[in-house]
Amino acid sequence: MTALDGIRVLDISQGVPGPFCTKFLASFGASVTKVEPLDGEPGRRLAPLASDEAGETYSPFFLYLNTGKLGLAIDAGSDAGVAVLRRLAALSDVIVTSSEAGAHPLGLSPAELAEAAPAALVVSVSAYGEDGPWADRRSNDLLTYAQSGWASVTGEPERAPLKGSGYQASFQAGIAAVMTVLAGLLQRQRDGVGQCADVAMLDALAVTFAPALLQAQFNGRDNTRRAAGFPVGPVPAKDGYFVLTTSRAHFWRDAMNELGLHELAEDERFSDPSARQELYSEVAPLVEERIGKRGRAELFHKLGVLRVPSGMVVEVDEMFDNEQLRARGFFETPPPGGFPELAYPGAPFELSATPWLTPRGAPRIGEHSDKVLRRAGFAPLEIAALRESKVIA
Amino acid sequence: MTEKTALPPLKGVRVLALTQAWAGTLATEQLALMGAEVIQVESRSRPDVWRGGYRAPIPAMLRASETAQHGWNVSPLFNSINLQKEGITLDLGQPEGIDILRELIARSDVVAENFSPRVMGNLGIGYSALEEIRPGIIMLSMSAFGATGPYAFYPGIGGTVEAVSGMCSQLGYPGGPPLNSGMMIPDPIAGYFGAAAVLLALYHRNRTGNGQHIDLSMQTVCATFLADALMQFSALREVRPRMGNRHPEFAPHNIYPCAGEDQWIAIAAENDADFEQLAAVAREPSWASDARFCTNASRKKNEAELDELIAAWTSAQPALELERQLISVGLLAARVSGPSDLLLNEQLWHRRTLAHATHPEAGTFAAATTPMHLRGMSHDVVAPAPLLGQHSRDVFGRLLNMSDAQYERLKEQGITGEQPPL
Repeated sequence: MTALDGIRVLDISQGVPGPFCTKFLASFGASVTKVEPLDGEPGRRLAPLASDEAGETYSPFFLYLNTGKLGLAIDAGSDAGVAVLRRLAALSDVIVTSSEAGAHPLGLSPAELAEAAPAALVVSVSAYGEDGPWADRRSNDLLTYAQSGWASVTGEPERAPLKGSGYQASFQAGIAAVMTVLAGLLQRQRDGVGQCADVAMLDALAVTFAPALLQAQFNGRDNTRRAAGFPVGPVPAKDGYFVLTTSRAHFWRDAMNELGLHELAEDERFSDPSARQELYSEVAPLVEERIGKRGRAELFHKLGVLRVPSGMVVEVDEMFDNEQLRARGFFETPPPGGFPELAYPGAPFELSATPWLTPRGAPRIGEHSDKVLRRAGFAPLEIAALRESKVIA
Repeated sequence: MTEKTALPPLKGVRVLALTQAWAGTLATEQLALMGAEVIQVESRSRPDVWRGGYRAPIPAMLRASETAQHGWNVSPLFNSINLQKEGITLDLGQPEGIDILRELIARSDVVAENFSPRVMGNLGIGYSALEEIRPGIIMLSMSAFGATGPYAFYPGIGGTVEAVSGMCSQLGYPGGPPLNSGMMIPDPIAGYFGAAAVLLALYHRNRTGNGQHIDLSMQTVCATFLADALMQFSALREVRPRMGNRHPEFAPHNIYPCAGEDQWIAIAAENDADFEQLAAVAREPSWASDARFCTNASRKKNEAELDELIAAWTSAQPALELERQLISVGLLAARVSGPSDLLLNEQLWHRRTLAHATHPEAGTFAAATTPMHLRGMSHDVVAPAPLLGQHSRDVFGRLLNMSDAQYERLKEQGITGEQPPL
């Protein structure tokens, strides 16, 4: 039995966070139906695009975000389309939607969805949430990094603050949506009633930034960007980059000995990690010079065996060959359906009794429209009529 | 059931948290804010490293306070992510300490830990032992690389996992070296995933009675956040370069300097209409008709030039006023907020994602609590993080029927207590 066996999820969300949330639910066994407009949701155009053998373009990132789902395409601008959606909503345990600058996919607000499905858990994901003074503002990952405080501490001191790469703010909102759906399901399991809940990308990043808020209030100054290099971040190794942190006394001793800096290893001034902070600038050039002569993997393994935390910087192409990720079976190849067969990032964690499974790749637009409607109790003639009048495709 | 009478999602769930520092501690704090009874277990000989050690000074702004007496109780880091928990101390190096822990486990639904993978087994409380003590128990184990594979026993912290998960290879200015995030972002990411994993396991347990072991590798949860770059390589064999604040498709999309010290604004234009508006606000309408910038493709091609022009304009503008102007015409703009700015964020206060907590030593402060907004969750009244060993007597009395005399004896033996070891 999967963790979410039998849970029916209607996914109306678009973009990154909502689809990530429902992908996650699908991989733990929920039955997820992705509903899109007839020309597909905007996520199908997430850059960069690739081409298949027939020359058709597709978004590799979209494929990742939508594994495990059935696809239904519908004209929600028509009364018949809205009626179909309301019928599907009423049969769902969970409905996930999104909003952008106050506008909802397919024109259906969370309140309208909840009205159609009073017993369902309706979760909407957006930049700022469904209410509050900023609810109707546009946003994206860049702005959320700027507003949440995360950009102010990321990057080099004299240069511009940085956002995290790619869609990491969206992913934070996505996993916050997963938590909300799962806790809401536990509540529904106990209480037997539905509810609406919203998830804001800004909230998700403000909570991960929480330690800096207390540091500001207790220390009387804001954290800001710190100089790169040892002991904060990556420094050049012989064949790439390497991170060495030495937060405990024996980490320092063992790491310095491994680098051949025996005098530093024994230097009393470095035995207290908190007193060490001011001394780093003095010794950083020496440590960096030694790291620069070492291969990153070799040094990582030596220090790992000595139980000293360190990190070789792994590049994106190297991730697929990383021995730890291979041993953990991280990359998976879901049945591709109509798309090319590719390696995808897989289980983020391992559950011993109810593992992550990815039963199918992302759907093509409307790939399962008939199947979804048949399962929902629509008669064959009804489905044919909807298709004929171009309400579904 | 009305809003007021609704019970929070995890009412009645008891969690023992043997976690330290950030990742596992945030995971269990989130469970506490969902209504679980979370008991944080610390050892007096090795209290949570985020308490800053027994020599931790009283932070500058609390020095004048009469209540702030112990540096380890008023650490900003520890207090930021242990809200709504109870705290006990137990010396797990003494057999009686382990015995008490086993008795607590027998009364718990979830045990969370982030030791390196063999520690729990060595203490005699690996997952199979937990299952015997309490059938149906859920165990959350969080480690740098997970419990299996060639790196299983390598230690790691946020800053090193960031490297090995591929994350820092993607972070940095265009053409520059890889960077780590400013605050070890792998930790809170793993915290969210850890909480989600426990929720999945609780749902399953409620339906089947079966518990399970969660083996969370920080490396893989962080790699998940790189799915877009990983899929790009998978499909196109392209390694995405470090892009700073730029977007793969749109320009402009960057953070620009404003008037004053360390003042910045994020601005993005997703289409030609956005860019025309931006040019109008900048009073540079010719930008929009300039062959170098008139289409998104040309802007992307000449992005460096465009960024220079925009920066030259923004650096004379006050960030707050510029943000107001750009937002008022519907553009994508946000000034860069530091921690102190965030404490004034009207949206976060409106949503009660920021709340006040009052701590016996540190006084009243504002804290970011949880991104979850489900019925029955109390966002207004948030209990502060526990003082060292604050709830040992209560918890032992309530759950184990321990008398005060027994508690005093344990204190004398150094198995529990509220103070550093002598």
